[in-house]
Amino acid sequence: MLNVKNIFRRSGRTTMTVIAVAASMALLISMNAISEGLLQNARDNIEKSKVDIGISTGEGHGIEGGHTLMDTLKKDPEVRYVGIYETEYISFKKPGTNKQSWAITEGVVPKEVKPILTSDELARFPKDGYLGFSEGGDPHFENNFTGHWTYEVLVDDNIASSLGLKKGDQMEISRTSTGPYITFNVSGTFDSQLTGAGAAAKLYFMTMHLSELQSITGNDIAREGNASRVVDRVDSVSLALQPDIRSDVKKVEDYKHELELRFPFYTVVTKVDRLTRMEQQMTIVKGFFLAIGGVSLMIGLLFVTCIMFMSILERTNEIGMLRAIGISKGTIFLQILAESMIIVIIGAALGIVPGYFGSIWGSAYIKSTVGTTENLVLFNIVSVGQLFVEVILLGGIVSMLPAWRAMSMDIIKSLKRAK
Amino acid sequence: MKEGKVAKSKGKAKAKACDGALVDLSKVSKFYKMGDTTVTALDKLDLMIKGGELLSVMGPSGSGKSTLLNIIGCIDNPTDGKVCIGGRDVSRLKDAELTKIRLTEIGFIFQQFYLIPTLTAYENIELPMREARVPNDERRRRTMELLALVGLKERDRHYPNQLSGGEQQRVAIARALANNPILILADEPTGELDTKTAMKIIDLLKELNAKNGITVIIVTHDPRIANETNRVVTLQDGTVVGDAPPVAHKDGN
Repeated sequence: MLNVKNIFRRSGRTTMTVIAVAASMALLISMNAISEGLLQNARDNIEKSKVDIGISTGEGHGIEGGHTLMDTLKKDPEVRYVGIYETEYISFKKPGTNKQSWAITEGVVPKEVKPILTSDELARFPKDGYLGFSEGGDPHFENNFTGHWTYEVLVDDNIASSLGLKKGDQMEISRTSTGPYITFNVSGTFDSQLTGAGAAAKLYFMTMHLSELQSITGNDIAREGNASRVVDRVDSVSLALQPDIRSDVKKVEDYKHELELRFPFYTVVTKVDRLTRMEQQMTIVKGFFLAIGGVSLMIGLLFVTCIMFMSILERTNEIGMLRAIGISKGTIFLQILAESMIIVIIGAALGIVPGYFGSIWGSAYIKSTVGTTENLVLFNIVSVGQLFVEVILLGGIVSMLPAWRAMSMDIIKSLKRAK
Repeated sequence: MKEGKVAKSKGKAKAKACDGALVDLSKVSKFYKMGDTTVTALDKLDLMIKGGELLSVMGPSGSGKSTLLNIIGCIDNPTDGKVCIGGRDVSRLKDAELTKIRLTEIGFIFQQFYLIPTLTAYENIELPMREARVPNDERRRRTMELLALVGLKERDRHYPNQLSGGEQQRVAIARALANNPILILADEPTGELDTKTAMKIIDLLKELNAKNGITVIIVTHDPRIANETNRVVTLQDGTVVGDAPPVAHKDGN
């Protein structure tokens, strides 16, 4: 008895409603694909990382004695490599000019950090071989911060193009925008994979020897009255564990607990911890993205509900007649529900392809805004299928309201209602 | 035979109390609340209609004609009194039971036709049969029979907007006959038709009454239509003030 031809009674209105559902479905799919892409990207980065354990103070004031701690940990049989890091914002400019900018600057001990870098990370430095500068230990540190400086710095392509620098050129670096500036030699350039294009401010990256960065930022020596002592403050210490340890989650956990006992003031974080924390954070991000899609979907479905209410209002006499000639309430309910659901299903189905292209566009937009070349979208057909089913179910729920209303209409009042 | 259809299939316990006429209204009252005021639509109305009658109901606006038709048609319940249709007391039945009676025992014809605009004449006619789960073959045969009966066999694929008013009403009559009702209720069936077409519709109803023995109740304002029926019931203020053959009615008795 169901008469689906009714949805063509107001074809223009039905088309608009289908478009509204399709648009909201497309947005939902795009938001879902982007959030899943971001999650997968973050997960991949952690999983690819050679760093099995990270040690930090967890409070942002750094670990004192970074080099010493590195040397201590290198003696642990569980440990394969140790890297120490410090990251700071550093002012830079071209010699002879006043226009300065800020760069995220990473201080590393090249020899130690090399084995910890992933192939992707190493690929950032293709132009001048590995890191492009002295690969020894950290000579400036090894002389208690009194030895010679290498004055070597690696700059990313953004800095290079911005200042017109190439290998062998000089640039000036300072802790503050007003100096004093120290002249460094550009020992190489690298691709940070952050293009800096788009809406966001251009990001600049530099890499230099850890001890030199520590000296520039004052994390090398603490002065106590007339005396001074080596502080050697670093942000974090990263450990790559032996293959037999890193492949066994329990052994990693055991070693983590051992480190926690040995260094009770530090926070020790394993890959699993990072994944868990990242997934918690990404759940919020995903929730935000899906909320945008969800609001859009609710508007789309509300559109359907309103249109169906309008439709049954227009068909009041007809519904009254149907009830009068013996059509059951259940049939009326199913009739309206079916009409509504057909609109939702067609709209949701039509939204899939625009959703796919929308997610590609959204990914491209985010990439250009953030300035990254990494893939930030994951168009998963299973997720799309799940969303499709969820939308249909939601559509079914909201469609019940007009269907219920139609079913509950008073026959006499419906028949009497003036057209 | 048709008169016993309901009594045989349903309501056996009540059958004794309702024995007799096809439609038997006893002391039926219907009150409506309109704010603080109670409006009396029917006031202890008694009416008995035998199977096979062709009857018209007349009366001024507000006399209770439509309410009477709604109660006989199981669309509405009386506030008081007893309504028997086909030997069964329907006064206190639940909605689902009343719906089933309307589907299988009663045919409705409305002034405005109320055909579904997105369905063809054929589909409009088969609508009640689909609801009654009539098998496909039987439904197809019966629909074509009904189209032939109302003279629209060649117009089966036409949509209501492709049919004249008279043709639409004939489709509505065919729809009313779909499930072999024992009773047809026509609420001003010619109200939107010209005189010539109106008389053709009345002739069709008369033919159905005469040949098929279907009881037909027509609510009308038009004395010419009433004159075509065998009995004219006149209502005023919710009660029967006249009940006579049309000639007597014409004489003003």
